[in-house]
Amino acid sequence: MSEQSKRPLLYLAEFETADQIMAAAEKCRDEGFEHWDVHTPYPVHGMDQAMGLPDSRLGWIVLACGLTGLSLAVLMMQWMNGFDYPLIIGGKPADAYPSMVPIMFELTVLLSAFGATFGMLGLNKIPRHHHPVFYSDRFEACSNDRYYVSVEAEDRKFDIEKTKAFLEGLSPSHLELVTEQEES
Amino acid sequence: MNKEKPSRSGSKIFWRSLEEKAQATSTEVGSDVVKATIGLGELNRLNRRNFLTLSGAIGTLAGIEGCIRRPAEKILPYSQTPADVNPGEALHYATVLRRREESVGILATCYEGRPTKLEGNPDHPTSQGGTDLLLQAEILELYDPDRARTPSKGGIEKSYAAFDAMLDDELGRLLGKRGAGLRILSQPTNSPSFMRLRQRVMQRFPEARFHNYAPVNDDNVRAGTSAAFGRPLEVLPRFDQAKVVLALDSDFLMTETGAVQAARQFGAKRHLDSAAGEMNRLYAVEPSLSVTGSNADHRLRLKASAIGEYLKGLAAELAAAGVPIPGLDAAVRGAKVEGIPETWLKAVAKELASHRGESLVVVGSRQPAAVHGLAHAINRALGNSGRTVSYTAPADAGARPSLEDIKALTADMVAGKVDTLIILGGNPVYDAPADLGFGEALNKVNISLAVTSHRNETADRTDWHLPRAHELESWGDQLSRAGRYAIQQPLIAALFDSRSDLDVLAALAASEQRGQALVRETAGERGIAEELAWQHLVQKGADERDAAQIFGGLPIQAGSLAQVLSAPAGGGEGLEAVFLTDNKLFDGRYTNNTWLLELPDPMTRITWDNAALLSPAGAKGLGVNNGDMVRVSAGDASVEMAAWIQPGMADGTVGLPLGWGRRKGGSNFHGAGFDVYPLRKSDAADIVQNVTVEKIRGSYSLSQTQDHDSMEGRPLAVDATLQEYRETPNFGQFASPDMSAGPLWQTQDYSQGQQWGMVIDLNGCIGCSACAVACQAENNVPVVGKEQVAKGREMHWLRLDRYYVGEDENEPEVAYQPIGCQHCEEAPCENVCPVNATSHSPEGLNDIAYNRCIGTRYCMNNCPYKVRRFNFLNFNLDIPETRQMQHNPSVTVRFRGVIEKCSYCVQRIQGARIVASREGREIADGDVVAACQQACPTGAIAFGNINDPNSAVSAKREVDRNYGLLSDVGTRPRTRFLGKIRNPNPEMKG
Amino acid sequence: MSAASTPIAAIGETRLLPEHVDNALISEQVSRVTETEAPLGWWIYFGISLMGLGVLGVSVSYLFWEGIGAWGNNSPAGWAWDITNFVWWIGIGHAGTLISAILFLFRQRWRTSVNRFAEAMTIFAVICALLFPSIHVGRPWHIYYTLPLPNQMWMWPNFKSPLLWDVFAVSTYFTVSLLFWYVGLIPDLATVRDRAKSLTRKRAYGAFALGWRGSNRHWRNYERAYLILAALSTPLVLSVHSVVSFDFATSVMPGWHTTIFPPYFVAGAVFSGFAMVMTLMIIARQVYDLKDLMTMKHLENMNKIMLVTGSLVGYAYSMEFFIAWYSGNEYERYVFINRATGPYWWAYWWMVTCNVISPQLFWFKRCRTSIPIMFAISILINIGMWFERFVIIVTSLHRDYLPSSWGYFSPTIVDIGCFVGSLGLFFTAFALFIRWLPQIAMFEVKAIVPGSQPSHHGPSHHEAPAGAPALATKEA
Repeated sequence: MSEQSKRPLLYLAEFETADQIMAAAEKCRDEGFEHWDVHTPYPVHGMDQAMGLPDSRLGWIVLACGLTGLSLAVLMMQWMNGFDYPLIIGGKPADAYPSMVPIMFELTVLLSAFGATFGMLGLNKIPRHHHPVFYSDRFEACSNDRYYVSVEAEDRKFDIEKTKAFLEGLSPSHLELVTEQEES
Repeated sequence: MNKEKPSRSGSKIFWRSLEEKAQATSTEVGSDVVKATIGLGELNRLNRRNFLTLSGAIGTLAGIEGCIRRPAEKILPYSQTPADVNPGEALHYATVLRRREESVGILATCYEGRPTKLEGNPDHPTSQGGTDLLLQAEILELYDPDRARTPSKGGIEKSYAAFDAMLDDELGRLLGKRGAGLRILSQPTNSPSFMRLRQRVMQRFPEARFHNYAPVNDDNVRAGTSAAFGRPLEVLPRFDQAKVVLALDSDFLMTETGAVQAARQFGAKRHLDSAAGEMNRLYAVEPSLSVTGSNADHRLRLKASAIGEYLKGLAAELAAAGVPIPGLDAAVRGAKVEGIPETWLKAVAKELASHRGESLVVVGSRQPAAVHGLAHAINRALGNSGRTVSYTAPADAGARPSLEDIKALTADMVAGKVDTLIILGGNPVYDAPADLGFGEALNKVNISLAVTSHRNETADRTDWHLPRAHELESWGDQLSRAGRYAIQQPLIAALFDSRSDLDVLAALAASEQRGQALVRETAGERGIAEELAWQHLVQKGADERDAAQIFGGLPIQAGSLAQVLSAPAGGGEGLEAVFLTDNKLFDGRYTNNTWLLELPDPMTRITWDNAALLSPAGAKGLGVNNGDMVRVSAGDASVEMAAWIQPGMADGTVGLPLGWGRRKGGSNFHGAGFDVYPLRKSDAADIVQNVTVEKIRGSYSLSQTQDHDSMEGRPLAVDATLQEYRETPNFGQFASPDMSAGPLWQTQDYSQGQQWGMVIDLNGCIGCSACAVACQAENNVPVVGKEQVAKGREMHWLRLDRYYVGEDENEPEVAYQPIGCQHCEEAPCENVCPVNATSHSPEGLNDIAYNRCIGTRYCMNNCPYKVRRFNFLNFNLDIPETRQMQHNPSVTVRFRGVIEKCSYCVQRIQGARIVASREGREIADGDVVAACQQACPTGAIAFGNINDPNSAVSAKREVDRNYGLLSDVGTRPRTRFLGKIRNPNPEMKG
Repeated sequence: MSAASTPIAAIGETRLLPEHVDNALISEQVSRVTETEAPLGWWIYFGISLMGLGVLGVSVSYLFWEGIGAWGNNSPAGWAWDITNFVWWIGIGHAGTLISAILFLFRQRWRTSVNRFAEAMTIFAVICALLFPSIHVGRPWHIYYTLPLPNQMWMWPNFKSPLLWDVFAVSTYFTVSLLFWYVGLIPDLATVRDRAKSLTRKRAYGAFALGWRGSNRHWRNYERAYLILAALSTPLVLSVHSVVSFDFATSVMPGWHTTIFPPYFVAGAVFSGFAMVMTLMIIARQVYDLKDLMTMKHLENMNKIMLVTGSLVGYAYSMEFFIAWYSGNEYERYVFINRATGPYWWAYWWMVTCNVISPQLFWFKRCRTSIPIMFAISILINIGMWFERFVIIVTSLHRDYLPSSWGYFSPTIVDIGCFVGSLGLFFTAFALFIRWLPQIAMFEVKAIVPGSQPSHHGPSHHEAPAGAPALATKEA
């Protein structure tokens, strides 16, 4: 069947340089899209502001994990050596804190690192291998040296024609409508 | 080679438990008794025969031990448990063992009829609870898997039936000629039963003849008394009565007859509870640094042959000092004393003269009769006779001197006069004087029979061989030199089908009696006939009193003595060799004993070997270093052996330790040491003149447990002179102070309950190493072998550190320090164990949980005393079953990969606790005796509850010379040391 | 002001990358390695490494069979090559995280070409390090007793033991390094995925790329995560070798009981780590023609760091001696005199020559920029740092408090086998890494290619996101 009949998913506009994508992003932001994104081979600086994104919430997740690690360490060591099975070791108090400091630190770091890594994956909702942008054959260049703006169909301001016109207005090097595919 | 060494091939089953192992190999060692005596668990697997054997063993023991209802030797089934025999509970039986010419009372610890440990019998005067190195190691001899198990002819195993048949018609033949040509060679005996049976054999075979021989004997001592008093006598010194002792080539603390008793008495005179105390003073004059010499306050290194001259010189000085020796003035005049320091004549003479009746001159058995004789004369002149020394007639009055006797026998053998030769014990082919050619002479004998525990060099040359029963598994009796009559009772049924000397003699005497019956009959003749008295005797182990007549002051036969003295002393300018009774192997009879082989020699610290001992100057002259091979030649004979530079050796002397380099009769000693007997001639059995030592190609690797002799000026084995002690009573603390400030944290409270602690009096430690072997026997400490020792992997829980003090390598002062776990209250080892495998008990013990230990060795690194031992390999693999029978059932046998160390004998503490709680009382002081403490002949070790102000150990901890080793590290060791005190004579300076 | 907009000379930065390098070239050069057939050089290198790995297998099997007695360890030297190797490897394992984290926080642009490399090296070095404590115990089948797991004895580990701190520190360090490394890999894996021709390749790399699509909403969290991991790794990397040094510093052994150890060990770790990175980089640089990305500038900077840390280590050596003398403690004094003049004098002077003297050549630019010289020196430093650990462990132990228990350690063939084998393990892992994974952080390098960052002024540039991996500013 013809392309038109398939359900559109998103527009993908390709750009050549960082400056272009920057400008494009700021325009999209001002246009007031919500379900849209910018794809770059590497982090482009100032892009967050250009897209008007709030600061990342990852820090709070890590903090929570770190505190969990710390308290876990304290409780474990105090209970095991100090309470559950106290022994006379080198004539020192069974529940001596100073000797527990290194492990408190290590467990804090360990859980924080888990928080940072898996928090990041969670916030980004990856792994996700079936995002519509992958339907585009050109998109592979994104991880090489091309820059993309994608506007998704579910955005309430999305309109096949209007949005197309708007994106063309950004003078991308290429514009593509990504549509549903049966065989995927 | 050594079964107890980890055999790499054997480790292919190292995942298995030792129990599995034991069962897997239980057919390997084919004695029924062995299987039977493993323990009750085995009983269901017993067949009738060994069931009865076992019962016999138990029955014997139970019957003896105060249980009068049941006559002994009656077989009873174990299903009715004999009284007092509870599995896992130790029983103690009194018996007696022969050490050189003396008999020593013993208490044996037995589990299920299985002796595992020997201690001294406090009720026996020659022991008084003390033991020495060899007595501690004796138990391993009993279980030696290399012992012969059956009669054999020309090395082929035979049945007793075959043997008895042979013996019968042989004896029948001999009866015809009234025993002409029948000769019996035994070791010198002190056994009344032996003498009684000897009589009966002689009655049956009037023409037969008994001989005795021991390579290390007291011939010279008796010859000395003959010279002095006109009759052979035993000499009984009383060191506990002597304030001044002059030891001439006498190692009375270690290798001479009666060493255990001597050490105890000597130690008694060196106990100092305060600076005000008095202690004795020991002068030693000797060619080679002996244990006794290492304890001397003044030591003069002198060629053995010059010692007689020195004594003459001293006698002359004594006369000058107002102690004339009647009738000998002429004989002692003009002694050759060049090179001997003036003070050693004048000052020593003065010292002796000023201690009449409380001084003592002792002479070693290596010295010729003349020196002994003169010493007796001097002792008499000093009024010491009867006070610090007394005399008794030898137990075996008629015995000819060993050397003479073996000479006569060999001569007859060569002359073809010997038709049948029966050798009871000993190893003459190996240790008889080389020039006699005893081995060759054996070929001239029609039928020769050796009755020895192992198929040794002698058994290898005789036609027949019988396994000889060990003293611990056969009946017998012995007289101490003072005449104390003691019963030697078997503690276990003969492990192998062996016979005792008494049984053999009984057979010769055509007596039906065996074992106990023979001994009882003797006892009967001594007036101990009825059951009660007999039971009492056996239970006590010895008679209440000394039977022998004690002679105090006997008149000196000045005339004959003067003649002996006038004979020229052998000493020449040439190099001379002295044969040393080995500290560990004695005359070679202990050469298969792995504990002794691996024990570092008290002086050289060499394990698994002996060496030719040279003085530093002598070695320099030869260009010889430690371990270089040398050829020692005397006349036509020569041996090639490794050399060792021994500080304190007399120049012009080479020391040759006897008893090594055996070739037959064991599997442990192969390649261990060098045999010096080939140099030993019947005319020079103690000192050889004009030997030559030459360096030859090659060197030999000797492995030591301690290769650094200096303390590097560190306050370790702290010592002081009596003078310094009186000036600074706390010199110990002064040198090695305790931490003044406590640690930052809340320290553990040890003020409550039992708190175990040990105090070791370095002034009492003579370096005999009995404690080390006692610990090994008590705690199942494995032997690792020469290679592992060389790598630094020996396992001794208690080691004896020996340091040389002073600058002059020729005149070293020696300091001994027994080191076991110090049980630090702030133990560095505990802090670092990642898995809590080692921690402190509330009673202050530093414990190890073997099954928790993963073997990081961190604790070993962090132990300042380096007392923690690591099982680098599976040292307990492939232990023969008989050997396993010695293991102490209350102590775990450790597996590969775990740390172990001194536990303060925690199993004994728990044992005492169980007894105490059963009796509903607290553990009393003295209930817990550590193995090392119990073995120590001088009582230098105290152990007990330091919270009990009245305990012996608390008293010792109060002594002002106490200090903690490396206290300044902050470990707070529970073991304390009492600083060593030397008692030099101010006048000996310069 | 922005780096890319300004002529590089003007902001005082010498150019890191040649003019002709652009994003496509970077993708091409780096990814190509994983796509084309491995060159002969790689096969030779891999073959040799594999043999080494075999040696490890044999040696460790024999060790487990016989027991620790198969090694030369004894009393008093309860530890010898085993822990020497452990400390040596863990030290080497420090450079990676250090470069990735600390240089990252310090905005060192030049790190971008080397950090992936260094991180990989860290992972493999820490694996080798973990190997030795695990096999050095007497009963390795009970090694799990060191973990706080319920067991039949109802016992817990002893949290007072520095060895247990090690267990936690090293395993934490390994885990965090692994996460750090992997997070850094995700965008590059996406690149390799997108370049892949075959479906299997696409799937294999795609699976690990987690469906990365370069979304800026992702970059936002991603950069924050990377920053946090860097911030965590920095104290961690310092703590790990400090904890390792506690093994010695908290003991009572003269020569071990020293407060200088933590900083001294960390300096040594960085030192040896850089040396090892240098060795490997020079090899990789030759094998795969990567001179455009790993430029002389990179190498020279690393040489400067080696010069600094080498001198720090030298300072520590001399300070140890001074304190030993100044303390007046006879045991302490003896240990240090014994180090320099005792039976192991040779080890000590090897250590000093390699670690203190040889890096001094880097004072001269000619040496700093000569590939053969820096390669030789990096090897020497690796050797020297091994001897440093040997000296600290064995010479301190073999003559401690009681002269009666002094001894001498000599290694057995199994000791050597285990050490050589660990090298085999390390290089095998490394060979696989450079063959199959992008060995240079492409997206980070792209980000510093001139013109890669927008040039127009926005509010962002002065307080640029801290996470910017390669933001090049004067403050650097």
